[in-house]
Amino acid sequence: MIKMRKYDIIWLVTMAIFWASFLATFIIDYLGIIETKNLGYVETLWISWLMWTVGLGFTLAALTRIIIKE
Amino acid sequence: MSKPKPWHAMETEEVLKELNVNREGLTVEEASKRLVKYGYNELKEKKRRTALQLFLGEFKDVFILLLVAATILSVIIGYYDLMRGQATSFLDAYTDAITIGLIVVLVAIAGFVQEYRAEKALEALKRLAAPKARVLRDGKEMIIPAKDVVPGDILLVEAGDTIPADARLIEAIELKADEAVLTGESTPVKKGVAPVNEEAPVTDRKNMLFMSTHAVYGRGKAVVVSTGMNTEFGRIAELMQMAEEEETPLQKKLDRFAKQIAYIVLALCAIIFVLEVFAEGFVVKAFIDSFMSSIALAISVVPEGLPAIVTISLALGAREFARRNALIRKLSSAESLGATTVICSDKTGTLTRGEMTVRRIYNGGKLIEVTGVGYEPKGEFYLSAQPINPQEDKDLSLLLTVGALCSNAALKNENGVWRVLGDPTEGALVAAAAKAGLEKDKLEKIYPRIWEGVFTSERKRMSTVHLAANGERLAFVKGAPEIILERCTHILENGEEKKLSKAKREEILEVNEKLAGDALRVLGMAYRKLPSTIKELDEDVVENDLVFLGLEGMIDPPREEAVEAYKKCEEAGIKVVMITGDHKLTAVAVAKEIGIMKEDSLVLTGAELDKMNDEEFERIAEDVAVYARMSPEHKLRIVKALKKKGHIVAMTGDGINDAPAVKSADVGIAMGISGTDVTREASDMVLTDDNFATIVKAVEEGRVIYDNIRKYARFLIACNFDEVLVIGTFALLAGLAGAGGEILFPLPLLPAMLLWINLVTDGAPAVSLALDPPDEDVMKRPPRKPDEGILHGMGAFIITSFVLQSTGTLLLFILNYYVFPTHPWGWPNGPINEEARLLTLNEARTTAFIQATMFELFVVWNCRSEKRSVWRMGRKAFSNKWFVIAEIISIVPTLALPYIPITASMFHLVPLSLADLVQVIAVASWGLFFVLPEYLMGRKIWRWK
Repeated sequence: MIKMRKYDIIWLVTMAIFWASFLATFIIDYLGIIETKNLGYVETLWISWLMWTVGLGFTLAALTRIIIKE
Repeated sequence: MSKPKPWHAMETEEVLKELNVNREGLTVEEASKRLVKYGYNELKEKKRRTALQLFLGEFKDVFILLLVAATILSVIIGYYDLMRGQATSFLDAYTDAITIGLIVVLVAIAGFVQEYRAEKALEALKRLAAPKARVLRDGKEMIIPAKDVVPGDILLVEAGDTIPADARLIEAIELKADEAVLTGESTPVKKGVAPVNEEAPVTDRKNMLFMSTHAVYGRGKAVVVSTGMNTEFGRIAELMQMAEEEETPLQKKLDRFAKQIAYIVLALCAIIFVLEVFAEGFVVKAFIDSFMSSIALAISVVPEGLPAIVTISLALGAREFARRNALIRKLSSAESLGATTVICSDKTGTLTRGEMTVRRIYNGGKLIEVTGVGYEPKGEFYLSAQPINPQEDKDLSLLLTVGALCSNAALKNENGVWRVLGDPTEGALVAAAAKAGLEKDKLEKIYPRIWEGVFTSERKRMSTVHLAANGERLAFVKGAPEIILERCTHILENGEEKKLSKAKREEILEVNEKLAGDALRVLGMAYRKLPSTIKELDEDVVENDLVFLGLEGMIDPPREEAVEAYKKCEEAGIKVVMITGDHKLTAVAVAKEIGIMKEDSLVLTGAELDKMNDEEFERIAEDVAVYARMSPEHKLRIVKALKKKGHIVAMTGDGINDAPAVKSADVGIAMGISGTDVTREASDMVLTDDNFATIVKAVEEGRVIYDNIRKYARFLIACNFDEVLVIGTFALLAGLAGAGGEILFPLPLLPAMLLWINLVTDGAPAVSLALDPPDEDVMKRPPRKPDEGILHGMGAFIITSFVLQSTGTLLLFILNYYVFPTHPWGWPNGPINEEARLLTLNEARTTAFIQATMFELFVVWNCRSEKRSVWRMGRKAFSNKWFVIAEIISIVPTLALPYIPITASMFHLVPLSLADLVQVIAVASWGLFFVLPEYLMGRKIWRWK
């Protein structure tokens, strides 16, 4: 059985957010809720999502540094 | 070549005359002249492979051959295109061929460099492990490299020595030699000096010693008659490789692992090939294109470099070992070292310095203290805290004289440091006598030695017979006190030989216990004036009816560094067991001082062990910390019992009888200074400083090497499989779409790109991982289990990396080809504009290619520790400068490829805009952000085999 450490939750939550936001972006694009072709480059749905993952990553890196002390 | 002289049929003097040497040996000057004349005493090595042969050898590899086939196919396609007018220029036609060809050369060069380095490292290893020889030159005993031995050199041979050249004996005392390497006869041959028949076969030449055979008993002097290729061994034997280049268990395991993956990947590639052909239609070009993709994919994914990197890591590690005073003789042992759970160490010389100093003397009922350190012949004698002059005490002088003369040790002053030539215990006796002004070389002139009964650990005693000036023969005996006492009938007190009463015996044994209880090694001394009725000198006759002289108690304190090293072992979950021939009390005292002996630890003596059967012993084997009074034969039982309990056992040994135990241990460790050649040859590792701390350092280094191999394996496996998914998905979709499928679903990565990613960019960082510094906890965690797979605990890491890398590559390709095409080409509804489609496709492929490469170069940062991601490594992240350099030389060319027109056209890449580049790097950075060992390593998802 996988032994969970308290801080493992952080990674799982991060991954959950990562994939949930991916799914959300995909659905928004697929359903045409926001028409990406009409948006400017930076606002483009997927580019925003890619940038968002970098932000999420930095947060995880920072949390890892702060929380794990061994 | 002229017929060799029948040295064995000649008298010794005749041999010496023929070789123009006397019994004092050659002069140093003459020896160097002869070295020029006869050359080094070496066997000619089988021809080493030249650099060119090594390079061409690379092309025997099946994967390289496949690449060569792919290159040839590309040439054919290029020619076909040029003829049909489909290619506009020579470069246009042959771009693929040139690219793949260049990659083949690059890969072959990389493989060649790796092999060349491994070969060089092994060569250096062989030089380091070169044997030594003891010779007389200028009348002095010298230890020289065996290769410098020349005809005419006088060899000094003792039990355990390997004979460096063919030599004719001029003196032999109970000398027996094991000539199995030469004759296949395993029973040792008794040697003598008498000439034998000229026609005698090698086996019957009892007065000759042959190169590479071993002296197993006694000692002797011999004059070298032939060296190098002129020896019997040189004539008939193959080259003896000192460092064996066998495949290690890990290499074998990885080889098998790589093959298993290869089968799976080849099957997948075959499927992809079929799907591709379906999509492109059944034309020759479709077959060739699909074949190229499949080959490139197979080559990229199969971790064929994995077994090779193990050799490099081990060979590089071996150099590191040598720097730390441990010579690795078998590369595979570096692996076992890292998994060692028990170190069985000799006490003397390993856990202690092995520099014995006589501290107390019991003589004529008096207990005398001796001062001084080590072998320096400087010290005072005290009786009840009052200094005394030992020369005024005849009993004490005789005791010290017996100690000095009944020994084969000599003291030597090397640049102000006193060292012992021979056994340290004997060295202490010689030093003690010298402190009383009784110098051994002077004593030897007064009492020349005429016979010796050699010391063996079974007999536990040694005797010599000397000729006194008055013609009397004096037998001097020393050995374990209880053994000596058993053979004594009298005792010398105040110059008088008195009958040894039972009470006196008990008193002596009591003193012996007391001295031993203070961690002193005690030797008993006795002498005897041999009656003229004794004609034939033999141990049973000489060592009887002795007169007891007294006891000499000496100490050999634990090394400071051994105490430190032991603490490290405790933290690393490694059990240390002390094995010694010493008294139980001595052993326990030293063991307690080091820390080996705990309250609940057991002490076992040789006699107690003898009474146990194997089952009884195995039950307690794990609880025993100290084995006292052990003979070398016991060591084998200890190794076997511990191994049966599932331990990985490292066992040290020096004496010739230790060889079986050293051989049967998982890691046999021989002593470089005190060890015999036989033990060294049976060993996996030789300590050049005989120090316990060095073993612990070697274990640490073994763990580091294994860790680094694991880092590489993790990186390789985590990053090699995404291409299968990416290519496989598109091949499947294209196949399902049928004819024209390759337009709707083109391959996101081209063969040349695949090869670049997995062969060019991977290489440098992966190799530099072998030089990575150790994790801080390398000696703070328990030993790994021996049956643990190399990928143990990496499942979660590998899967996460695989999923993120594949997603990233697919996502970027999809976004750039379908969602935001820079040149709208008609997807999904319109008529297809082929020119726009190709432009868009090249851009999409460029982003996919850069992402796949950069992801690997990022994720490798997180492959460098089992527990820490790059975010928590701090400055240590940059401590391996080779790694940093490797990253730079991989990242820079990869990013430059699309911007250099010629490489861009070779790889079908287009320059990316800054915005495109930013999104690619963003995706690739997932490897840095989300593939973190803190969360992903050590998870038991499933068992890797």
